Amino acid sequence: MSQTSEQRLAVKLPGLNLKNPVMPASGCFAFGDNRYAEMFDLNQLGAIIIKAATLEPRVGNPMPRIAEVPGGVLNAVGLQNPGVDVILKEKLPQLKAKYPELPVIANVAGTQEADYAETARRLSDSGMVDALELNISCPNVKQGGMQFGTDPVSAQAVTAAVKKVSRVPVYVKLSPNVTDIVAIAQAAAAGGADGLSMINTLLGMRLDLKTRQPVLANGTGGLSGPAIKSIAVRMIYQVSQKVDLPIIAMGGISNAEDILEMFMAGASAVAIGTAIFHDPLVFPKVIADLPQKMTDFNIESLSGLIAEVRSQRNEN
Amino acid sequence: MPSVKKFLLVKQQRLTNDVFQMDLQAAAPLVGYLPGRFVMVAIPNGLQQLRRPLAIAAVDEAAGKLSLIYRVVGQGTAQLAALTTGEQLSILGALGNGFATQKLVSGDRVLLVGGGTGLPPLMYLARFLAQKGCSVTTMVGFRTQTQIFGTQVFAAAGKLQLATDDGSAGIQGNVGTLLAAFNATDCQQVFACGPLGLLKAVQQRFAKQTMPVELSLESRMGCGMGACAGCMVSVGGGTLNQHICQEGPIFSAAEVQL
Repeated sequence: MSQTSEQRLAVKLPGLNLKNPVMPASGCFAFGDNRYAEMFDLNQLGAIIIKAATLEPRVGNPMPRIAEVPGGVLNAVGLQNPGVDVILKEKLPQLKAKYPELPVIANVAGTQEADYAETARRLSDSGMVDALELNISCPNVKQGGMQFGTDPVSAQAVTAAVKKVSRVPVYVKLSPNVTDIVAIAQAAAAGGADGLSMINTLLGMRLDLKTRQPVLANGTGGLSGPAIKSIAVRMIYQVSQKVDLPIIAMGGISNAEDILEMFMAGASAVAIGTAIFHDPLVFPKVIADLPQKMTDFNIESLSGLIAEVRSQRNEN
Repeated sequence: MPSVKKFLLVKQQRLTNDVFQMDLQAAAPLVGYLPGRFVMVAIPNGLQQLRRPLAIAAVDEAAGKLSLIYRVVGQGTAQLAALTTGEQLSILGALGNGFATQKLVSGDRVLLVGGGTGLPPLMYLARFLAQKGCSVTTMVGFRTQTQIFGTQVFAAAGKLQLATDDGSAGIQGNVGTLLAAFNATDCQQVFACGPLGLLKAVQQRFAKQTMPVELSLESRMGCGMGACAGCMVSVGGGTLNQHICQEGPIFSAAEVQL
């Protein structure tokens, strides 16, 4: 191997020059202001995707918000966040003060085009974020969220509205709760997206046998964890065949092999969410494991792997 | 600082039909395992992604010994109950704020109120406060005699007041009955852990009193680390503004909205 370990893990995406491709998924890591940050240095991360921001504060859904299934977790938090202004005034400055070098991707949610655009404008104008992740795929809110991510016309329009005002690259986060995810990915591309992130959670439900009622107060929730990984792999593979945008992959990743599988499916970076609940040290672990796993599978560098996979897709 | 440690299961004991006690041994001394704090236990089968939040029932920090008492309520806790001596568990701890015991001194009178799976953290607290020289009265409620566990700890730490719904042990009634008869004069602090109804009864009973009343809340949790917003509670007039796992699980009865 001729490349250094650092060169082997580095990846470049629009707005993101990452020393490694690994980042916490939105909603699983708050704004970096959680106790995981006491257990490992967040400077080890490739980047951080912070919790969804909306124009106004949101209290989210009632409890219980969390349930479990074999190999996965159902959540219905409902985009609880203090609103974009508090995030800009308190959360982001605290994060930037502690980790000035850590690239930040801000997740943007809303109920209509105008508030998506205004939230995106404020975040991108702040100079504190390197990219936006446009959340058109949250399954746990009644208005907005997933309705934009399940209709190509809406997906294109909201992407275009946000692109018009954003000074930083925009990654559109896709919902798997659609018949044809390629159509939505193409709509996001037509709206001017700089990249995609996929997949958000799958809509699921559990019932309590004693009460005969849903376990989650919201009724339904979003399924994440290893149970959905093969769906994410399939969708990333399909989208990367038809759309040339870089993809931040998420959906059940819990180890270095999973990361390599996502790259082989068509990813250019990865986010990990649910796995941290089981293993609080999953981030430093997978970053440390990657070089050896790459060697095991004859991968010299991740950037080389991305180029190789994408060139094969283009031939199809 | 929380850490993940491997613990050896030294003893698994069935206390009642569905309540179990695990005695665990760490390789090194434990730090910060204070009364009212909790740990997140990984279910060692690869299927359950979420760790289970369990209160510390007893600990010997210097010796690395930890005891957890839990009720089997679902697949995860059933997996824990099936573990046998010699198996290893991954435990994240210690988490949460713990009971505020700093101001208590020898001779202070305290009241503990518990029921069901709320008893384990109070068992640790009773021992801890008795060692401090506090005069500890504990009110405990069960549905029936066969569900009783932990009472010998409370009896050893001070005075035990026992109630069962069917009168098969102690007085017939519940902790509400005991609370109504309690003389709150000279009581310096109250601690409670148990079902929502019990916590509400304690909150109401002492609403007009000035002594600190601390309630330990139970909740489903995702992370236990203040990251996932899966266990929020309304405190001090806010709406779902605090994490039970991080700012709690112990909250002032005067501030928390149940």
